[in-house]
Order: sequence, then structure tokens, then C-alpha cells
Amino acid sequence: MNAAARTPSWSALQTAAVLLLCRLTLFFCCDQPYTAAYAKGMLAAALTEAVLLLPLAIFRRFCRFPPAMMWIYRVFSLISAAFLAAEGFRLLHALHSAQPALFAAMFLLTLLFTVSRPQAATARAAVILLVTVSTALLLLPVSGIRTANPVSLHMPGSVSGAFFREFRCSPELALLPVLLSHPKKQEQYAPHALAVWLIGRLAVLPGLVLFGTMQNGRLTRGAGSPFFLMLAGAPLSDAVRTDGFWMLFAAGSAVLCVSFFLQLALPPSRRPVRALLTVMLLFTGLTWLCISADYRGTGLGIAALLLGALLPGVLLPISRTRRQKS
Amino acid sequence: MHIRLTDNLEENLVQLQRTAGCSDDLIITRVTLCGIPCALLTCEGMVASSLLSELVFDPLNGLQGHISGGGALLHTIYNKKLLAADASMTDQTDALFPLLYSGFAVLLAEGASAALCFGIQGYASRSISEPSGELNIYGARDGFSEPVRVNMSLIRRRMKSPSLTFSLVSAGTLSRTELCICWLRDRVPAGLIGEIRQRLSTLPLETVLSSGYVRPFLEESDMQLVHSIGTTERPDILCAKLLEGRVGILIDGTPHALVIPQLFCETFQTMDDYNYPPAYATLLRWMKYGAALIALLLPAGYLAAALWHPELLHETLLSLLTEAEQTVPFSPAAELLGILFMFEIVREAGLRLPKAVGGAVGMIGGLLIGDTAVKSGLISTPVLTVAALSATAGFVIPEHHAALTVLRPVFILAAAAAGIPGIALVGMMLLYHICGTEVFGFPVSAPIAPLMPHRLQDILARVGFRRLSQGNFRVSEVREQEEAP
Amino acid sequence: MKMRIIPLLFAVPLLTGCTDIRSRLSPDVLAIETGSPARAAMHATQDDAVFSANTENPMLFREALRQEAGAEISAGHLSLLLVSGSPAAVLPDFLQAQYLSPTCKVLYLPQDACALLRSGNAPTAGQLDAAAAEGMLPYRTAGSVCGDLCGGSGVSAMPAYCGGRLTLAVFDAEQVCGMLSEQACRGLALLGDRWESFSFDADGAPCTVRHTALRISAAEENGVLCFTVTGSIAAETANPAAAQRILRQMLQAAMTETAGAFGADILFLRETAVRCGIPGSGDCGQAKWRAMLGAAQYRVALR
Repeated sequence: MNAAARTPSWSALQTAAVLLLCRLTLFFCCDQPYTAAYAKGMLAAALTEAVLLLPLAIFRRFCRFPPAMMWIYRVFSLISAAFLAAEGFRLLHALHSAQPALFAAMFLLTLLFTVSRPQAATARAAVILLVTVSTALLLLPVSGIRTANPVSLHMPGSVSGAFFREFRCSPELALLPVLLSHPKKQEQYAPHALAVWLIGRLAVLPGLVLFGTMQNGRLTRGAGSPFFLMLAGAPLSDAVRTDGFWMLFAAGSAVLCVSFFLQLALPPSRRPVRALLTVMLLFTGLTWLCISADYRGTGLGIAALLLGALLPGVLLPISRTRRQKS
Repeated sequence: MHIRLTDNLEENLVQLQRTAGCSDDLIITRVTLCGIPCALLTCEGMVASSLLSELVFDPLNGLQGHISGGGALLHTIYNKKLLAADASMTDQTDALFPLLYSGFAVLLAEGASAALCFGIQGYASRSISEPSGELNIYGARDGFSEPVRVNMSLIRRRMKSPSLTFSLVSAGTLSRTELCICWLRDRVPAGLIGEIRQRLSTLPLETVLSSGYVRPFLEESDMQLVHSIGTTERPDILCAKLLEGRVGILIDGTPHALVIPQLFCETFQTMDDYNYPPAYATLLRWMKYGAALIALLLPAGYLAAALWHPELLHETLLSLLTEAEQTVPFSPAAELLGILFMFEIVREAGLRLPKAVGGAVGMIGGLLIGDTAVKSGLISTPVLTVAALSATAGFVIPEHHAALTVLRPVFILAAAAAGIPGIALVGMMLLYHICGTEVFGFPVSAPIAPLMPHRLQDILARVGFRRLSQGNFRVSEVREQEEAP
Repeated sequence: MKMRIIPLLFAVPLLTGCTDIRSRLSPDVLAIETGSPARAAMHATQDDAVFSANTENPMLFREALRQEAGAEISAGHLSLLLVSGSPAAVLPDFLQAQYLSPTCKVLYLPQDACALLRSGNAPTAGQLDAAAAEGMLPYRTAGSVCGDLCGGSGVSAMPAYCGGRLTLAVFDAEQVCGMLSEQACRGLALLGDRWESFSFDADGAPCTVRHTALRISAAEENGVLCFTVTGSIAAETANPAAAQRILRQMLQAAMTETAGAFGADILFLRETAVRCGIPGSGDCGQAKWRAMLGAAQYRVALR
């Protein structure tokens, strides 16, 4: 089956929305304290990723992946899904949500449903979630303006640590060659998608970190998820809290992102149900492994960097050779 | 059953009576015209008696001259006598009976192997009245009726453009119900009419008694909670939809017309929105969005906060809830499910009973549930308040009432099982269901997904007509947006 | 068709049980006495009753109180935590376990926190808020107290009730180091700028502070770290000279009694030093920074 035909047929905004949500989900799950150094490292990493991905935007052609390469992407997607799910469960544990086993069962059933839907549903749902979270993010400065302490921005921290951590938390970038290589897409698709993605990565996330730094102050250890710590310190009012909405959004975006990876991991098959169940079984096993082994995906970032940065250079000669032959 | 008519009048009459099973509503009037034995077939109650004598008997009795045979007689009448605007000749019984039972008069003649059918419909039908379900304050007060041709005229009166096209098709192997596909030729997306015709032609139905029979076969799946094909009883709304390039399907025998496609956001719109000032209409829109969320999520949110996340509630509210629940023998989840179930019973009972009794049922139900159950300690006041708010909010969007009724208990159970993360899981399933629903290539989640920012002006707000008229929405843009980079 | 059974499968886990709202207590005040055995007491808002129990470990207070009260304990609405003994042994762990929210008030009692709660004589969260609003104490919550333990110099300060008055107790990871004077507390409140009304007696003349614009800066002079409070304070008084003198004394006491005496960095002095480019301020460990604060000079230079 033509591997390129299996890639999703999404618009630029939909692609960017999925990428941003993947990063945002891992951002919620991350337990690294918010510091100005974190924001700087995040910015530097985003700029570096943009530079590495520039060839995709400029030199993208209708790439056709050899089957072996697609299998690598599928395995990588499966691992990324397990990694993301493990991080999600850690967040749930940090939030002291009850009945983790029951939630795990419901989560798997939800994934069975969402992964069996068309890929277009994932893309559309991503846009809706992104629009919703963008609106909600506007409320944060309103609620936190009273309690923000700008002097916290000068807390010492490690920029390089944040820089490398960003790559670890961006597994979706390695899949960009797959997402941007659909033959039906027009020439402006890749630049548009990367532009929207860049706005989110350069403006929104570092801004959120800086805001969180001013809210959380020196509370950099042992307080659970720094994002929810920030929310706890900045309610809209005494009676109105937004923690429930963000908990809802974090769980929802985790479902979407895991579904995205699993849909990419699904191999083409004449028996789609069997393929889906096989992938879900492998995913469940890998997630359990990630949770129990406390695997934080150190190597995942390096793999993402290699795949995302090197593959365009590898693929271009392959695509040109095939077109020359045809 | 394709049986051709013969040129023997008696044989034809015997065959037709046999086919009709000697049904008593088949009236055969024998008459001699220009010396040729003829028979006029009508269906009891389907033809206007006054029209029959005025348009048929009088002109036919006045026929003079020498006519060679039955076939020539029918041709003379068909070509020279204008008995009715709708006239046709047929020689097949399977084409003749639908016309006969639609109010046509059928003239057979000795020596003619065909029949002359002319429409003089005069069956009793409901007069045009205000639709019961889609009430408006400022909009028109006429709604569709059961006869499809009356409905066609209601649309034509509002849309005098020659690009408005009607196409009659037949559906139902037994009922041969007339369906009228209507569209604007210069607005409808290419290929849509053909696809719809193709699906209608393969309907595996014996009868079509309402729009609900046809809709599942036009939608992509019959398990949809969110309909991708809308219905309306209002000709003004259907005309507005046709202007956007949609296709309407009128069904004979039901006042509900189908609209293809229907986007999810449009179910929150009413015709009155376009009569109110923009600011007020925008406020109403957001009120409806809020009502939909309240109807779906308020009971589940209450349960999740009370059971799993009490820190989200203000301490005064929490102490109120705890105090109210102390004496109730059931768990909050059971209370909510029970009260919503009782509410649906009372609602359904009030709907099905005669109007004289329905009001009493509503009062008794409200008294029983609202007052007595709380005072007896079976349910608590906060739960009753939450359930009442949720149920009332659900009536603001009647289009989604069925889906809300089904989904509400699911969300309640998910909240009871896993709190807010449980609500998130069910919510994502619902979101995927909506986002994955398409009809004829149109995603129902448009114009939010795929995002069409210039079309959000009629979704997030109701901007003024001066701005709305600058770029009229065409439903074909949704398909184009899907393909856009 | 097989995918359609998934929503039905979903119904199975949904039909399970859940916690009951009726068998749960939400305390608004919790008292913990560290030691062996530790003691815990709580005031339950629903019953307006106080329950107390002994426990091996302060972290097991929920289990101990659950057995005593016969109901699940939900700490989501805790508004005040009373601590006796070693606050550092309680606060960070409670915050991590989310028994404390960052905005919860904390109060140190030198002894018998549980007994004081039982007797009903313990200060309330409202009294702490009122004290902060009147500028008697800086606005300190569990988040800021624990934050200063994690960052800064590892020495923090929390409101305390000692000798019938509210003050601040300075403590580190091991013990309570000392109590601050009223002047120092008021000076810290001024620097925190969270007060709503600030009044004092200026040599017999009442003085009301209207507006403050204070800023701390750091500099290195002849190898000595120096922190200076600059800015202005607008006050209404009949005796402005005395008022200015007293305000300067408050600010001076705030810095010398915290950072100077105990090495407690509760004024974000480290961040100030980083902002002002003091070498070594960002890289050094907590012990080193504590020593640097002890050796630093503190000045007040108001306009």
C-alpha cells in the first residue's frame, strides 16, 4: 500500500494544532519548576527546532517513504504514545485522582474508540481544543495579575537543562516529515503549518512559563505539577476556580495526542480491527513499562532530533531518484 | 409488477380491479363518449367532486364529432381539450396506480391500449398553520403541511428565481411516496444532487411515512448522536438554507423537510436571531451555548466536584451540599439518575396525553417530584436544583434534546466513576464523534473545524446584516476549506 | 460493526461505586504537633467539633483522625495549619501531598497546638488576614513559606503566636531559630506591600501610610555585599520626622533581623542580587548564601 496515501490529509492549521497540543500536553505533565531560565531554554530550543525544520518548509517535495522507513515511524509513534500516556498517568497521580486502575480501563476504551475514528476527526478535534485553550489562556493573566511577583524572574536556573529537555518533550517533531509529505497538499501547506507552530512555541509556552515563574515564586521542589500549582495560587476569585477546566483540558488533550500517535502507528491492514487491537496491546504494554520503570524518555529526545533533522536530508535524494526513474 | 394495458376496456377494468383487490375506494364510472365506451376511474376522497364535474364531465359530455376509436378519442382529449394542467398518458399499471392514488382521474376507452390521467386532486389536508415545534416571535407563521405540492408552492412563493429547481422522485416500494428534491442550481455544490439521487434511488424501504425513515439512509451512519441532516417545518428556514447552497427534501405526508447538510453550529440558530438587534442576538447565541453545556455537564460536574474534587467548591457551598445529603438514603449519583429518569417520564407523559390532561400531569409531576420527594427526604434540594436546571437548559436547543437525554446519564456515570478525568474521557469521545461526522463530504464541525475565521462572525456572534450580506455563506466553502492548505 | 460495541463496553466500568459525600469531613483548621508520638487535631466545619488523635508520623494524620471521627478526611478546604515543634518537618511534605494548598495560612505555636485548638483559643485565619491587612504581619502563606525553604537560603519565616501576640518565627530545616520583633514584622509588611491600612504612633502623633514605592537593590562595596532599601513612603502625620524615623527603623529591623541575624532570605534578596549582577549570588549553595547574608550590610535610604 502506498505509504504516502496513509498520511493524514490535514490543513496547515490542523497540523499545527496537533503539534502544539502534543507539546502542551507534555507541558502540563512536566514537573520541572518554572523559572526564567526554563523559558529561555524553551525559546532557544524552539528556535533551534525551527532552524532544523526549515528545510522541510522550503525544500519539501512530494516525498514517498520506503516501507521500511514508515515502519520506523510507526514504531516511533507507538513509543511516543506510550511515553505520553505514562506522563499523563503521572500527572493524574500528582493530582491525587482516585481509582487509577478504573481510569486506566476507561482510558483504554476511549482510545479504542478515538483511534478507530478517521484521522480527520483527530485534526478537527485538535483545532477545537486549541481554540478553546487559547481563549482560556487569556484568563490566566487576568486572574494572576494580583499575585504575580516579577522579582521571581531572576531566580537562578539552568538554561542548558531546559534546552535539552525541550527536545525530550517534543516527540511529535520527528513525525513532521510524515505529516508534511502528503502528495495532495499545496505548496504553502508546510510553511503555514510551521509558522503557526512557531508562534505557539515561541510566544505561548515561554509566556506561560514566565507567568508561572511569577506566580510560583521559589516553590520549585516537591509541590507536584507546577502548572496546577500556578492555578492554585491564581484563582479567578474566592468562589470561582478554573482548576477543574484545566484538569478536564489536560486529560482531553492527552487522549487526543495519544490517539494521534496511535493512528499514525496503525499499519495498513486488510483486518483493521485486528491491527487496532494489536497496536493497543503493544501500547498498553509499553505504557506499563514506562510507568513502572520510571522511564523519562531521555533517549527519546535524541531520537526525535535525529529523525526530525536528518530525515529530510535523507529523503530528498530518495524522492528525486524515484521521480527521475519514473 | 409491469402489466401493460390492452385495447379491451373490459379486460383492462377486470385487470385493474384484480390488481386493486376489488378495493371499495376504487370508483369506476362508465360513460360513452362519441359513441365509444369509456370508463373513468377515481379514488374515493382523493378527487375534488366539483372539479370532477366542472373539468371532466362537462367538457367530455360536450365532445362532438366522429372519432375513429378509443385511442384517437384519448389523443383528441389529451391534445385538444385542456382538462387539467397536469395530464399524462400511460400504458403501464404500475405507473397508473400511483397516479390514481395521488388524486388523478384515469380515463380508459375501448380500443385504446393506454390510459389518460389528469390531476384533479381534491383530497382533504391540513391547512397551513404555524409549526408546533419551531416557534418564532418575528418570523413568518406559516409552516409546511403534509401535501408535498403545497410545500413546493410555499417555497416557490418565497423564491421566485428560475434557478430554484424541484425534482420529484418516488421512494418506498409499497407506498411510492413522493419526495421532492429542491435546490438552487447556481449555488449547490457540484455532484451533490447526483449523490443524493443515487442514495434515494436505493432506499430499501417499503414505506416512507416520515422524514425519520429517510434520514438514516442519507447520513453516513445510523448510529449518529449528532444529526448531519437537519429538519425544519418552516419554509423560510428552508429557503435560507437553499440560498447557502444546501439541498432540501420535501416528503409527501410529513411537514418536516430535510436539509442537507446541517452543520453542528447551526443547530443553535433560529430565524428570530436575524430579526433581533445584533447585540441581543449575540447574547442569545451565547446563552444557548451555555445552556447546552449546562444541560450536558452540570449534573456530571456537580457530581464530580461533590464526590471527587470537593476542593473545587466553595466551603459554604460544600457544607450546604453535605448537609442536604445527610438524610438522603441514596447516593448523589443514584439521586441524579433517578430524578432525570422521572423527569423524562413526566415529560413524555405530558407530550403523549391529550392537552386537557397533559397540563395536569405536568403539575402533578412537578408537585410530586419537586415538593413531596424533597420533603420526604428521598432526594436533596441541591440535586433537584441541578437536575431541573439541566433539564430546562436542554429545552433551549430542541434539536439536541435526544442526544442530551442519552448523553447526560453517561456523563453522570463517568463523573461518579472517575471525577473530572472521567468527564474528560467521555467528552473526548463525544468530540471525536462530532468531528468525525460527515455527510456527503461536509464535516459537521465546520466552520470551527476546519477553521473558517471569516465565517465565525455568524457563529460566535450575530453581526449586522450589512456585514453579513458582504460575503454570503456558501456551503461549498466547507469542502473547499478541507482541501485548503 | 465491532467498533460500535466500544461505547457499550464503556458502560461496564462506569457502573462501579464511588466515595460518598455523607461520610466525609472537611476540616478548616488542622493542628499538628511534631514529636514522638506526633499529635493531630482538626476542627470540622460540618459538626463544629474538634477531633484529635495521636499518630506515629504527621503524614498519617488523615488515617488517625479518620478513625477518631469515623469519616473520611478531605483537606481540600484547609484554611489554617497550626504547627508546633519543627515546621520544616511538616510543611514541605504536606504541600507535596497536597494536604496544603499554596494559599493556605500557616501559624507556628511554640507548644500545644492541638490543645489550643481544642480550647478554642487559637488564632483564626481571619485574624491572620486582618493582621496582614493592617500591616502588622507580612502576607505569608504555605506557598511562600515553603518556597523560601526550597530557594533562597533555606531559612524561612512563618507567622507565629507567642506570648499573646502575632509575630514571625524564623526556622530552618532543623529547628526554629528565633522570633522577630514587632518592628521587624511591620517592616516586612511594608516591604511586602500587601497591606490595606498601615497606621502607627509616631511619638504621640498618629501616622497613616498612604502609599509606598520601595525597592531593594544590591551592590558590592569593597568586597562586602550591601543591600539598600530605596524609594519613598507617603504618610499622613502631624510629626513627619518621627514617622520617617520609625519607618526607617522598621525597614532596617526587617532586613537585619531576618537576613542579617538568621540568614533568612524572605525578601527575595538572592534574586535581587542576581538582578543587580552580584557575582556568585546565583551559583552558590544555600549554606553559602546564608553565610553571605549574615556578613552583608543592610541600609535604608528613603527619599
